[in-house]
Amino acid sequence: MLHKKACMLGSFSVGKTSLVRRFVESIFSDTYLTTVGVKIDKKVFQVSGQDLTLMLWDIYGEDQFQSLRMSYLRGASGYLLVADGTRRATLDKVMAIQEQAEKALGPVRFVMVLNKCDLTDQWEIEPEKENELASRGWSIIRTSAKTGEGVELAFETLARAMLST
Amino acid sequence: MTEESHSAAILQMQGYAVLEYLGDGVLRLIGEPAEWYREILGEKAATEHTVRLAERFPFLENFLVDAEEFWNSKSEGHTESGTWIERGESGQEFALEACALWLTGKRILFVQNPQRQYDERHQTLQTARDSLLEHERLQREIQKKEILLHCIIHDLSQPLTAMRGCFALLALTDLPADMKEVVEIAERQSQKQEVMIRGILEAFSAELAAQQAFDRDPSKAPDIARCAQKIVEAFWSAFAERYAQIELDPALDLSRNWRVVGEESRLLRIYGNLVENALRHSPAGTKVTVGVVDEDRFLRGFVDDQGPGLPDDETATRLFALFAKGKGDRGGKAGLGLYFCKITVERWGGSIGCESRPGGGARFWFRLPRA
Repeated sequence: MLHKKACMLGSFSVGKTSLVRRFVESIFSDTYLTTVGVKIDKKVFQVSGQDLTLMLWDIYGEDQFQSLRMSYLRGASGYLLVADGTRRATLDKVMAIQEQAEKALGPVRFVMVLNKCDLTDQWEIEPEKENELASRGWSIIRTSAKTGEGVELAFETLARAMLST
Repeated sequence: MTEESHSAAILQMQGYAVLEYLGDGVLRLIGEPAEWYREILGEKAATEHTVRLAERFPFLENFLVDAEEFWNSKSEGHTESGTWIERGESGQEFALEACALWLTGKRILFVQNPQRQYDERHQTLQTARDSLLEHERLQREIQKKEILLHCIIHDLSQPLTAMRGCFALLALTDLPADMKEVVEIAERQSQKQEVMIRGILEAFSAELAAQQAFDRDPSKAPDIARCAQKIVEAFWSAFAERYAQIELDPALDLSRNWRVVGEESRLLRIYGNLVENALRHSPAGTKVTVGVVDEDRFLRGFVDDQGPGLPDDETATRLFALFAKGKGDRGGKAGLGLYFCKITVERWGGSIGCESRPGGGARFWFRLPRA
């Protein structure tokens, strides 16, 4: 059985914990509960015919109150960058985090998710921006932890990318 | 009971698990396990005295790398892990923190469950973040409403142009005198309305300009003293035309670090608006002085004039309000200049004000944080 570590990175209240809960426990709650510290969950699943234990490090969202400790990323084979599609500023933030993560980890695989895609009327990320990120070779996936849309796909895409390296 | 286990027992009462690091990921539990330790590891595992805790706690495995680095450096003090959450056998969550240090020649790891402090910290952060989210939401709402308002006002101005054209044409026809007067009144009123609409649209643009993002990188921060110098140079001829003078404060040392939070073009506009205001109130033969003073973490830009000073019943709050034109016949054109200064300075974390000077004249100032 393969074991891999993946980190959830992004600003606060973008839905990192909700995505993990949806993926691991198939649960969603509308109440926002901020994460303090690090929570580690695991999920065993099959990717490309291989059994994989994915250790998901759900790391608190960075803001003016808590800054990200790069030592938490040590040993990660990949990370999921999470932005809230209804808050444009969280995309800028997660792009800055990506640069920090790359400095700390080197060029490990990552997937960017634009979460809360069920809130279409509040969506603030222009398709041009998504295209621009995709043209850099980034995997961009729209997700909704609430409806489950894109969640499995996001984690599986990350897992496949991690296994391919 | 040995002295070691005696100390461990005291720490255990405080909710600590005291572990000695034996190397190669193996830890030895000193004394009895704390309650949370039993709940997380289960009764059997918790009573084993040498454990590979890292296998059970991936977070600790990661922290042991930092801890080993610390122990190997033989440094004094300690190194901390930060908070992580573990789930006990019953599903209860425990907030844990580890701390590595040297104690009586041993590599010691204290692990504790500071639940009360964690709960308080969680509550504080939750409140702060909820407030931030609410603030963001309100800002978005305001922005949407402002855009809607802008569109409505813009749409309202469209038929007005056509109406004014019709009145102008009517005025050219051979109308009876009383009708001509009515048309002239209508033309004047529509003109007034157009000026008002333009004013609202300009205020909207000023607010948008003030809300624009600015670079927080200190290396790109504007130099407030250089801005003062540029403004003096730009306005020199306008003052000369009115037989007045403008000068840079002779006490200002341009070689010092005068960088402030903000953005240069808008900072120049702030100085420019204050100087324009001073020019309007400067009688011939008087001088306006532009400068900056150091106030520790803040820098204060100022524009001093030798005009009549502020009327006794004038307040800074009123002067810097939207569409405020100042009292008397020397008020501004649209009442937007000082308003723009206020909202921009406040957006950058500063403040703005004005006062009469003891020796005569007025001082308009703004205070910005150092970059």
